[in-house]
Amino acid sequence: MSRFIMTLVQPAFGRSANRFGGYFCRRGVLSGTPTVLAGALAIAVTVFPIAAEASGDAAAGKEKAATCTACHGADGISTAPNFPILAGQYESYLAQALKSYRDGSRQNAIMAGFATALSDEDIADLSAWFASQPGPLQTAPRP
Amino acid sequence: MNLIAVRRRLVRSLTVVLLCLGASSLSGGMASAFAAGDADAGAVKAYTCLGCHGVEHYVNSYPTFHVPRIAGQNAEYLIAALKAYRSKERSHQTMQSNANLLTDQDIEDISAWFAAQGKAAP
Repeated sequence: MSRFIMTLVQPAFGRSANRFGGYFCRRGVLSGTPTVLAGALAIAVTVFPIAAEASGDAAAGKEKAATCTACHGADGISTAPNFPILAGQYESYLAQALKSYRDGSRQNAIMAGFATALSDEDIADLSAWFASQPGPLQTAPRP
Repeated sequence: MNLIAVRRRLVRSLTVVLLCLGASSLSGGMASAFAAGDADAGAVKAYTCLGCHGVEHYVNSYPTFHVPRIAGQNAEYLIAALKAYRSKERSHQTMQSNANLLTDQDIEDISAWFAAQGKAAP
């Protein structure tokens, strides 16, 4: 439902649509929705995008990751320091990075070449695989 | 001055030039190998970053995705990422605004600190 509203709002408002869409959905302003429905919508807007992205098949991702391992390491821990470690990274971040490489909003000659060949499912599977691998990455501790 | 003396002098000056070249390239190489930032200085400079990168499961909004885990990440990659944000070659409003204020030294220090904060190997 939240996706549907976004689809309606996005063409009209361009890039800022998400911000406005999210705001109106939460407030229930969009169609004078009753408060209960607005609450449900708010939850859908907040939870759905992440839940939708966490659907990758890690085992399938392992099969598809052969190309990636040349630079990012067999287990997602890259051997060369200029390539990022992927093991244990958030799945949704990895998916976002791959999609950005694919649509050109993030520019990298090497990654663009690989990402353009990937389907949404490939991206979900690869992200699930690398996110599931153990590695040194963690949320930075407070000093 | 005979020919042998001239040749000796030439050889001597050539040796000096070669030695100087060797020394400078050596020190150049050392400088780049040791250009790693100062992690202690980075700890202070990285404080702002923790507002997002120090919160487990923190989420970027619109588009929605998790703010990446960068503790334990390769320093060289972090340096490249921050420089790309600073030059606006890589897009993300918040990251561009923050990176915009950083000097090369800041970037190296911050990256060194984050790189050193990874999980210990099991």
